[in-house]
Amino acid sequence: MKKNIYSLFAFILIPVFTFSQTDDDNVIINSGIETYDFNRTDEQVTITKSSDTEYIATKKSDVIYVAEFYNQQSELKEADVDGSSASPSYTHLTDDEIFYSDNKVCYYELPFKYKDKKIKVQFKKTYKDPRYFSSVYLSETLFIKSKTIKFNVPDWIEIEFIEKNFNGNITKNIIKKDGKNSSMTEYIYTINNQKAIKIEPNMQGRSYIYPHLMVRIRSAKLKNKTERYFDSLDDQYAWYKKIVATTQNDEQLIKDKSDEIVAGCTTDWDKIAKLLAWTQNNIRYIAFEDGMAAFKPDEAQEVIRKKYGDCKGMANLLTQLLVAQGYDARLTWVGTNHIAYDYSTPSLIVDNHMICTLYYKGNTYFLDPTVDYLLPGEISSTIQGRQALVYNEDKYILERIPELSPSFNNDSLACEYKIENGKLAGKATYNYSGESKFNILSIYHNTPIDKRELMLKVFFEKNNVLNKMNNIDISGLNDNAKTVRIQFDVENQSTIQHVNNEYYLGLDMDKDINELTIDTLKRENNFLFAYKHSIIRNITLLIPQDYAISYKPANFVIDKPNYYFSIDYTFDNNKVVYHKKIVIKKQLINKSDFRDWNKDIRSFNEAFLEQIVLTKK
Amino acid sequence: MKRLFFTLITFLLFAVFTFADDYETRAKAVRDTVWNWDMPMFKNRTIPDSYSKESAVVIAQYEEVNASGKSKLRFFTTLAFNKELYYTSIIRKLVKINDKSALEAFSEFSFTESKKILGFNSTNTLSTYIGARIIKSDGSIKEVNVNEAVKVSENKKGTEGYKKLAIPDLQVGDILDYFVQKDFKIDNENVPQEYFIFSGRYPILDYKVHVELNKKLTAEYRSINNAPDFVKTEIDDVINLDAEQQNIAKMEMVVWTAPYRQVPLIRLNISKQRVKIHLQTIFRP
Repeated sequence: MKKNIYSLFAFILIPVFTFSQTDDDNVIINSGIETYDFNRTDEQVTITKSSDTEYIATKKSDVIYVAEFYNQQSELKEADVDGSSASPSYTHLTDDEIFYSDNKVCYYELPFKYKDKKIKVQFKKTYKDPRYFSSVYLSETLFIKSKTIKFNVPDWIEIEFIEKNFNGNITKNIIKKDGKNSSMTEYIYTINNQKAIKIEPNMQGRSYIYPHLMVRIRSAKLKNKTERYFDSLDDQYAWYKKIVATTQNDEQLIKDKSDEIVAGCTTDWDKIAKLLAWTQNNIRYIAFEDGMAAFKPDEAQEVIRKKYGDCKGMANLLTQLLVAQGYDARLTWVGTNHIAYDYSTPSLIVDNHMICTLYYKGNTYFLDPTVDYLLPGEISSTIQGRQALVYNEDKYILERIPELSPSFNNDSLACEYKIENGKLAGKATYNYSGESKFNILSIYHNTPIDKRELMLKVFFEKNNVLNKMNNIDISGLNDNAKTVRIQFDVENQSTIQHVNNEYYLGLDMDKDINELTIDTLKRENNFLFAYKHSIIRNITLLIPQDYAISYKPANFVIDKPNYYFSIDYTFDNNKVVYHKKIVIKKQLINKSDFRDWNKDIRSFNEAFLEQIVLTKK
Repeated sequence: MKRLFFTLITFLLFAVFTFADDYETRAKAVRDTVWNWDMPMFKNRTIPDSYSKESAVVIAQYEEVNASGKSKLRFFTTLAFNKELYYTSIIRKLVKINDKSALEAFSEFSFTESKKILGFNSTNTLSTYIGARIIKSDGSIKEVNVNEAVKVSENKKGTEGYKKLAIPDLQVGDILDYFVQKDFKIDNENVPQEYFIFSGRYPILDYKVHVELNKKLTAEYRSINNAPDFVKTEIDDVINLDAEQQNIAKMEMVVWTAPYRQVPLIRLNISKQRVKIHLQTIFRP
């Protein structure tokens, strides 16, 4: 019985601990109400959002920023504050990532001068087009003690609320209200003790994690007509198609440019690879998000003139360059792995990227000119496994972008060491392909010329003065190289010790993932690798004739569904061959697997630190 | 009444358009003037081979400061004469882009076209004009249309803010020729301190500084850390200060660099008050 009481007690505590305020939460949302009202004119539906939020400092004085965002498709009507003399500030949202965006923010800088200080903030804004009213988040960057979100839905609008990442702390009530001429349905969501949104490195996008509603406005009865919005994917495609039709490409100019680029290419494949590489190398990626321009690709001739463009402009240019050579290339809309949705729920939030799809000799190639150095057939992890909405005149084609295996991203080392003057000396050869190639080339090309040798030395000498690399030779820097090879002479003194008549040595300087344990107390979100890694290290040691092996480390292997780690040794009289393999089979480590992951990393690190002992004969 | 209202609106609109037109006219005039400078340093296209492994090379760099002032009767706390400062600074650079890193560094500009700071019975104004040209490897010159810059607003009505320009058609191997000119009219403050830095992230083949000051102003300057010194000449009411240096090596700024102790520079202060110390209105502490 006592055990049952404890179990019951623990059961009651779980939800409290799961959603309770943490030590990091000082200013919290004490209470709030957010109301959405739907209005119609003869031509359009508008949605008015009214929010009234009370903030409170629970422990100490603090300063927070409270903001409301708006853009060309929405209008901020009111901003007011109660309990503070702060004035609102208005600015465009722009940063190093996005060159220009029509997104604007109205924000208050609110000082909470003492504990229990309360400040209320009200905003009112209107969405001018229901297509842009696509999601409502039920979590914020502050802990929410209590908040209500209410949708007053009239009977003339057909709407669907799709609940995402809901937990037990959110309740829903639906109340029907019948009037004389029309009826109304209230959808009321009550949120209690909702943890704050926390941004961490290597996390998934917020749509995977935090509770929110996908709002689908299918249609609305206006005065003289029924307006269909995104009732189906056909509607969304038709809307996209109408926008891209406004892009007027100069076919002759594109043809001339395309001919100039492929001059000298003898095969179709050379031409395709050359056109992709030219777009990757000559067009700078600059993100523009400006009203309808956020959906309309820039004209191909403009992108050529400016030598910069966003994903739409670059995808359109590559498509036109390929079409000019007679290939079947299409504009394609994609939602990257940053967002949790696919095209089964038509909405403007299900995609965020544009690429080019090429149908060639019965095969489908997904070409992303915003990702440098990848060849046709090589695909960035950000779009692998995602749905692709391919342009196809009146009826789109829905494709699935394939997932590539970790071996596509090979990162390997082959090295043969001798012991010379108490150091491990030899020649090292690193090979990189796929996204490993993308990584090394991005670092290389983004490093100023005069600092590249230093960068390579720091990288390969592991920032340790005991190691030296010389005579660096790099191949594969050109457009069409599948593999980048970096070769150099290496002197490794950091993993070898000579004591009396014995050598204690490790052969591997690459720690790779050895220190990648996850802080289970602090980390809140799943951990997402940038791509599926495949790391192989083959290192041979030629044993001096007057020495013999006196200690052989054991082999080690861990094979889990999501990852594989192994270290193998092969010994004979003359040499030792060390073989390390790390494969990240799946990009995501779930929070529930953190403990196992940490345990496996520690075991792997112990095996890695094992040393071979050579004793003088 | 209605007519008066429309007249007022028309007048205000006219004022806005005129202001905008004034800016465009002045900007065009500035660009025409700068591009027509007859300065051999900006015609040089030859870069010694020893600089081929540099991320970028500044082939030519020229800075000019022009300051004058006039007295104006104003009421602050009492009725008194106050001196308005007219101050123009311009920097022009000719830069060879050798790699992607330099391309990124020189491919975007931010600037505030015009800014007014209102004070009590006084107004300080700042106008910034920029120009850019790309010199391709075949010698052809393409002028950048700076009107392609987008505006980033920083207030509710979008009347204040700055502009961002992504330089079109700029590629590795090109030479970028650009300038930034700032015109100040300052009612009740001194001009900000100027530093002419004879060093930088990239090597500089030829660097010249020219300062023109009206004798009614006072200037104080100091050349430190082995920077060249100004050569002073006087023509009528104007005092000229000139300095130049060639083949300036790049300098790495690292966390332990103490700029004021290590970087060769000339620091220049211009005061609108005439200080009659010793014999000159120019003096060096």
